[in-house]
Amino acid sequence: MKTRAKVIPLARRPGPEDALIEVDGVRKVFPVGASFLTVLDEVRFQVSRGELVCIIGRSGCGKSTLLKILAGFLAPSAGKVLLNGETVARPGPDRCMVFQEDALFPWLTVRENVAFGLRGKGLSTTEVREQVDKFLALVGLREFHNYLPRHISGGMKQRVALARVLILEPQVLLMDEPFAALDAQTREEMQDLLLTLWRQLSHTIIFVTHDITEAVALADRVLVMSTAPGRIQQQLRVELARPRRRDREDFMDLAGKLSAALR
Amino acid sequence: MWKKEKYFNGPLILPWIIPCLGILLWIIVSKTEVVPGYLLPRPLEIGKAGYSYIFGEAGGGPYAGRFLADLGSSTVRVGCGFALAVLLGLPLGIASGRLPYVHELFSNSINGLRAVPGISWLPLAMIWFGIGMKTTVFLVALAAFFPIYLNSAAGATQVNPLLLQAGAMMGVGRVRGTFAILLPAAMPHIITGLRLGLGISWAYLVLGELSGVPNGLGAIIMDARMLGRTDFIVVGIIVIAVIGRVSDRLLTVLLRSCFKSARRLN
Repeated sequence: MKTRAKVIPLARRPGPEDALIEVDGVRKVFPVGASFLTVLDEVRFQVSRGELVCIIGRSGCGKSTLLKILAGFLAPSAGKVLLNGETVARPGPDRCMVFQEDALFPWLTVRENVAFGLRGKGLSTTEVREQVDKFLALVGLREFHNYLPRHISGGMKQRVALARVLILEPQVLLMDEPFAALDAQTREEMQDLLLTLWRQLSHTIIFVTHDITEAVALADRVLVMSTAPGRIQQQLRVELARPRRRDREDFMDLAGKLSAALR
Repeated sequence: MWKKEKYFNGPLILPWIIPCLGILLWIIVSKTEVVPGYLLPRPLEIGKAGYSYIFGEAGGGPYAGRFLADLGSSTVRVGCGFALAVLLGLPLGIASGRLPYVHELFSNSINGLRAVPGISWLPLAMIWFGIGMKTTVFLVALAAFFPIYLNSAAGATQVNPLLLQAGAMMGVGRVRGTFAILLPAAMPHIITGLRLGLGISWAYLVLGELSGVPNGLGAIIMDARMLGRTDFIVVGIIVIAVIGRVSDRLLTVLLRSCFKSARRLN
C-alpha cells in the first residue's frame, strides 16, 4: 500500500494569521483645484476572520474614505484591498456597510427594507418571511415590522440598517460611525446589541468611530489613524474581558492611552 | 390622526369655498346687469346650456347631447399625446438626471425648444399633419413633454446617493437599481411632472381643436364663438376645468394604487 500523499493546496499563500482582509499600501489622492490632496497614504493592515477592529481618528483623517474603499464605493489611487486573497473592485453583498446617516428606503416598511437584499435570490415567499422574522427578532424590532422608516426613532433605524445587511450574511461588516448620531444611552444600547450579534453570528467587523469609549468598549484591536495624510499610526490590542464595564479603571486607562495617541 | 378633523371638516369644505364664492359673485354681477348678457351670460342660462349639452337629445338644440362624443374624442387625443410625452419624457428625464453626458447632449436643445410657446407650433403642425387628430396629439405631446422631462430629471438628480450605494452593496444591479431604487426615490418629482404634464395637455388640446376640427371639447368653444353663443363658450370652459381636475385626481389615484412610493412618500 502506497503512502497517501498529503495534498497541499497551492491556491493561496496563507498570510500572517490567515487574514480575511488585507489592506496593502492603499493611497487615496483627491484633486483639489490645480493641486492634489493626499487623504490616505500607505495604509497597510490586516483583519482576521471573526475579529472586531475599530479604526479611530479625528475628523478629516480619511477614515470614512478608507471604509468606502473597503466597501468598493471608491477605488484607491494606489495599493489594493484583498478579501480572501481577491482584489476588491466594486461594492458587493460580501462587504456590507452600515452608514452613519439614515440610508433606509423611505418608501418601504421595516420588513420590506430588511427583505430588500433577499429579493432575486430565488427564495420562496415563506423562506423570505422566516428569514426576515428571524433578523427582526435579533435586532428587537418584531412589533415594528410594518412601520415606515420615518415613523421610527434614529436608534431603531440603525437596527433596521443592521438587520438588512446581517440577513445577507456578509463576510465583513463595515460600520461608518453608525451610532454617532444617537443619544448617549441609545448608543450604549446599540453597542451592546452589536456585541451580542457579533457573538451569535461571529462576523468580521470593521468599525470606524471618533469616539474613544466606543472603540474601547467594542474592539479586539484599535487602529489609530493620523491626520493629513491619513496613516495607521498605532495599533492597540484591547485585552479587556467582556462584558466590559465602562467605569472600570483598566477601561479608563486604555481610553486615556488612546486619547493621548490621538493628540 | 389629526384631532381637529372631528370638529372641523376642513379638507371636505375648504376646496369648495372659492368655486362657490365665484358663482355667487357671478350671480350678483349678472343681477345688477352691469355687464350685458352677451358678454357674460347669466348662470341660469349656462346651467340650461350645460344641461342640454350633457343630457339633451341630439337635435334638440345647438350642441345638444354632444357631450359624451366630444369628451370621448378629446380624451383619446389627450390620452395619446400624454402617453407619447410620458414614453419619451420620463426615460429621457431620468437618464439625463443620472448620466452627465445625456444631460449635456440634450440640455441645450430641450431648454431652447421649451422657450418656444406652443402656439407657434400650431401653423407648422397644421402644415405637417393637417387639421384634427394628428395635429392635436402632436401639440399635446410636445407641451406635456417638457414638465415631465424636467421634473423626472430633477427627481433623478436629487436622489440620495446613499440609497444607490446601499443598493449596490446589497448586490442590486443596474436594471433592478433603476426600478427598485431610482424610480421610487424620484417618485415625488415624477408625480409632479406627470400632473403638470396632464394639466397642460388639456390646455393644448383646446389649442389643437381650435384649429377647426368638427368635434371635441375645444371644438365647441370655437364653434360657439362663431355662432355667437357665449353661453356654450362658458360651458366649454367649465367642462374643461372640471375634466382637468377630475383627470388630475384620477392620475394621482392611479399612481397611488400602482406604486408604494407614490402612496408612502410625502
